[in-house]
Amino acid sequence: MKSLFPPAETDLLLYCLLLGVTVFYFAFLPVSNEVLGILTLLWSTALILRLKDLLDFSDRLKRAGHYDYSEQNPSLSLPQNILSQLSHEQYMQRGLTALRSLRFPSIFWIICGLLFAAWGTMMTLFPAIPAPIPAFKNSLDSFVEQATGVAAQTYLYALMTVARRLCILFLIGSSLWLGQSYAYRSPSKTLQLYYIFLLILAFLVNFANENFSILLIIDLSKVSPCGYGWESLNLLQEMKLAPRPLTSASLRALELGSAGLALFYFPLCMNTLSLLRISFDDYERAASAVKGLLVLSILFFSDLYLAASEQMTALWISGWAVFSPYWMRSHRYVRKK
Amino acid sequence: MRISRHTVRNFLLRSGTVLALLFMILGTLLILRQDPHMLSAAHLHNSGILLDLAAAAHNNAERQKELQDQALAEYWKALNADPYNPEIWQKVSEYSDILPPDQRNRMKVIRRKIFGTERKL
Repeated sequence: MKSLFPPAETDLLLYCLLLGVTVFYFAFLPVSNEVLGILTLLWSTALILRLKDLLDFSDRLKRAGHYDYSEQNPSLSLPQNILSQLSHEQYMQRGLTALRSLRFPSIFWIICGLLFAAWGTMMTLFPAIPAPIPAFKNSLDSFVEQATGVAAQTYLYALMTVARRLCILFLIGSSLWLGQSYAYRSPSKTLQLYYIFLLILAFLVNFANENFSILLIIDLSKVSPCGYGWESLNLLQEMKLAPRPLTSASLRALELGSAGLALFYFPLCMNTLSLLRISFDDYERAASAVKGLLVLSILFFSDLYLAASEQMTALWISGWAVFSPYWMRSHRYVRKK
Repeated sequence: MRISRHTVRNFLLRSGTVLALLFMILGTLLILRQDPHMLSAAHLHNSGILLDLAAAAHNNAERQKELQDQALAEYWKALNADPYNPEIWQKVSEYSDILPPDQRNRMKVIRRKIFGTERKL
């Protein structure tokens, strides 16, 4: 343990612990709003600490003339010599590797994630539910007000649902981005085994779902561009208006519509193609790309064929954490000779 | 004007920090605001206990009425916390003795709609 996590890497230890706790919680325990709020606080703290580290490192590079040399004044010889020596130092190498998580391929994930979150929020707050349901909801609300003397705060349920789903997306996004920023540890076999153990555990928990044999996959040609909003299917399923159980992809199609599906699968397909291209490249990059494709295929399979449940979040978080170092190493910069 | 890599990195890192701070606030709000599903389930659980106590107190009519009123109050709280909680509607028949007649009938109509077998989407 001591050799794996020297004192300078306490933030990596924090990330691994957070990852383990989050995956175990989602896989085996019911996640209430309070627990989700605490997890979000912990992950945002870890993220802020990491961002501050990188901000400091970037400022130091600026003061050392790294950016002046590389971009504005290539004739400076001293920084080149110093930086060339420094780049062989472990901490310098790790810092530069971590900063690579700010390059376009990584930022592309974040932009797509933000677009998906915005679409999901819009669909949940302004759902495209068919005519009988809003009328039924109104009659239910008026009954609640008459019976209890207090108006039902229906808008609050939608806001809480949005907050909950945004926090889950934030946890998945943080595990992916932080994993990328710690990609310099990817050669560590112990760390890789730890990540893969979490992924296999989350996959088996989802695979063991009792609904696996009777899943319903809906006809995508009947899905409209807009959906009914996050978590709106619970009521529809109780009313026998929507099938149950559903796969994650089918549930997403009903909740967010075909536009939501497109926003979800477009980045996945783009990045899969990018990894496929790299898999024909030089050996080391190709090896990482193939491992990344393997992880992506597990996530694709689970999304298309396993039942939608809370445990699926465990699979997404662990899956993206395993995927992130392979993604970074397959996109590493190779100097042209 | 050429934008340096340092400026771009600084912008991305600071934007990330702001985003993380926003989620920190969202996480705090989730902690402070109780989960409506869990709140509803808790009220329903309390109501069930009170209903059992009322059934056990059949020798003391006054005490039984008091417990039934408390059970009904908890049941309404559960309904108000989350009207879409299916357990509330599944238990309408258990409460049919203590529910006011007009509300009992309306609840049965709503329950039929919720657990009805209408056409699928």
